[in-house]
Amino acid sequence: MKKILVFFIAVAMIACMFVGIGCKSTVAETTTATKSTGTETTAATEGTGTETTAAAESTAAGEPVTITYWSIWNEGEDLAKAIQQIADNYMAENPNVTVVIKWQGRDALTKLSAALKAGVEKPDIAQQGFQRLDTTLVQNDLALPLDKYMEEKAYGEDVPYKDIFLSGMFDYWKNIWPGGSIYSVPLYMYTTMWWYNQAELEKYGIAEAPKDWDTFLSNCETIKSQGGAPLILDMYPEYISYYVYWLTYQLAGRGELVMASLDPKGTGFDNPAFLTAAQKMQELVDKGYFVKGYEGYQFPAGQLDWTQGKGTFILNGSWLLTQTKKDLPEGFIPRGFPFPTVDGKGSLTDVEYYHSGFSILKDTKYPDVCADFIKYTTTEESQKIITGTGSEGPVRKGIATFKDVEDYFNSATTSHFFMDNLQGVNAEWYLKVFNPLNQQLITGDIKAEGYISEIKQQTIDFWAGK
Amino acid sequence: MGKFLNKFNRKESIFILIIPTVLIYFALFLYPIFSSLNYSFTDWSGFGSNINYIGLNNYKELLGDKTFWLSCKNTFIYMFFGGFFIFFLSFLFVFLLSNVRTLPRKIFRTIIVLPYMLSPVALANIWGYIYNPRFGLINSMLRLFRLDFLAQAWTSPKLIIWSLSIGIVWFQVGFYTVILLAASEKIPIDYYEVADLDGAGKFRKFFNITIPLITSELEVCLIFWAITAIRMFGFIFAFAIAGDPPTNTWTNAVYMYMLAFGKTTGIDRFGYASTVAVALVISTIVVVGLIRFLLRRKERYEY
Repeated sequence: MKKILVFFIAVAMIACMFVGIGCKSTVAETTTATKSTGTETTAATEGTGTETTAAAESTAAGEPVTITYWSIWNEGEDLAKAIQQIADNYMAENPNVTVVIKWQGRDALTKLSAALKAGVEKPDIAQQGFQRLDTTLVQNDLALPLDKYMEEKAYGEDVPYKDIFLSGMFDYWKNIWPGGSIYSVPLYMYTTMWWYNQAELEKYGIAEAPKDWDTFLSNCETIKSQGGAPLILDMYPEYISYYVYWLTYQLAGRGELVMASLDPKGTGFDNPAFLTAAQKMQELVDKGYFVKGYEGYQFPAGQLDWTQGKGTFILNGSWLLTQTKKDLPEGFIPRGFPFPTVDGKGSLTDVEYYHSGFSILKDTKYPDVCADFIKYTTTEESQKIITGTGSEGPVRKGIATFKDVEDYFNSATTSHFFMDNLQGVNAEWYLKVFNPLNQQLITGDIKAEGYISEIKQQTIDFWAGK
Repeated sequence: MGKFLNKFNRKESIFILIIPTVLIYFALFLYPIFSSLNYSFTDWSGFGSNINYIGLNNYKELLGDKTFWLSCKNTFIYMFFGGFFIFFLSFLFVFLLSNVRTLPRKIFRTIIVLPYMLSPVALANIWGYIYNPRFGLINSMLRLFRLDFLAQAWTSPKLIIWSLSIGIVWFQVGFYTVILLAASEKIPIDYYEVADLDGAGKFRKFFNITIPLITSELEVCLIFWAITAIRMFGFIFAFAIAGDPPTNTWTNAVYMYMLAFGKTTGIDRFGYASTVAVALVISTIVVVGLIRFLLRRKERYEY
């Protein structure tokens, strides 16, 4: 009897193992598949007569279609609510389509990597920053080229889809993506600017935001002389690197930092512009412009203290205003200005774009429907929903957002991608060499000359090991 | 089943019955380990099917990888600095709970163990606020008692690894206290009574009776802590609430994760990350072996 019992327990254990393997992945967060009920809209067909959406065309027989989209947002975040609203509106216009959004958080691509390896449930559409989509999906031939859809008409409009975007949106990426094809479409944009409270600046007697570095330093000195702390930040490696990157960008020019990071002999850092950039960074530290205790500011302590007026200027992504809007006290007038020119070099209209958007996975069953949904997210109405959350920048012309961001985008004579795509082109160097040295520079543990010497040597060592 | 097994002798029957366990062990433990070993010889990014075998190149790179050796150093800081205070406090709590009768033992034990039951991610967030230079608990208390000069930027690059170690000690100490306390409670009271007759004080009894007689359990705790330290990941990773954790806090496990998956920035070198994983396994074996060697005893105490 005992033997029979043991035998059945063993069988049950094996059965559990195979059932566990066969189950759908539980990697995803809770799904939020909702369909609008009741109200139907005619926005998709308004003024366009005989046009139908790709969703309708693809499923002319009324076949229901379900597409899955993995978002980098967590359920409940402002942008998550906005995206859900857009999805609901789309489903109302396309009743046979169900858009299942899985709120994966910032680890969306990590989870996608695991899902691809395990061969379990994976999405039709993935969302991330362009540099991550590129290094994970596009360069590994996992993303669908979207050129066909860019030539088609935009959703509910009579213009080619490619023409609705801000100018220069894809310029950088066409040089990176295989064959110059389009592999990702942006949903919203960020940029990096200096942020401040206009009311506070006026209190210090500073009438307008600085446009050049010397004026910026002069403003810092004015603030410090009146007992204020000119600069504040969170000691998050990326935020520290913004300082060094932007000083380098303005002084050395576009792409120089990336090229120097790729030089196995380190000679790129012999460019005197890098030393000048490091010296200017050191000057900020030596003159005590950073708020007291800044070395210990763990996110979000720095930006919270900025809202409380503990520091005047903060260099950050334009997501800052979305993140802090609930913390801004009454009378706080948030403003932003682009990174000043430095020693007469650089530009105020060479706009930095940080695209976050979509790629369609190559093996999706419904590429046309996925593309149709993506087009819908970039309609005017959808983009207004996105920009309504705070300071997210629109990806198409004519959509209002936070005024200083809008003015900056509208002023663009040229554009470049966030940090010249250093995080995509040379992520390992960025994490292992650039960030740690920048941290030492901003805390005063290393001086400018030592910084240049170290970054050159560590770059050589980095490549020597490859 | 009985009739089926009757065809086999005892040894053969045992073998048949352990097959399911072996299969599960193979699928869930051995296969992933060998799979990792296999990937460690490739340059696979973790995405796509482009996997190229590159021989021992990853291992050669690892030997010269300064970030890897920095992560080893950090791991040993957490292990030794953290371990010293974990076991010092554990023994202190064992002593107090064993000798101070007025202490409410159950409540005290619950309080000590409670942090261990919480999520490391939640704890990391809490400690982030405790260490806040302006309104954090530590600096606020120091200012309250007019000890402003002691207020620090606790998470500055110079201090962050020590600050993280303190947080780790705080949430790990309860687990080891409970084990060592349970071990000490197993010791027959006769030993203490004899010591009392000989005039031994509390400290003498603790060091000469309690500690020697719980050496077996201590060895298990040390091994467990060493493995925990080598695998330390969640608390450190979550402490950097947004974005990539600073490299001067990386353990081997964090470095492995950053190579394979990244956080804000993705290196996407799954093959090389597997190499670090193999190094982790080897270092675990070496450290555990060393602990067992150092704590080996010629005689065993039985009671």
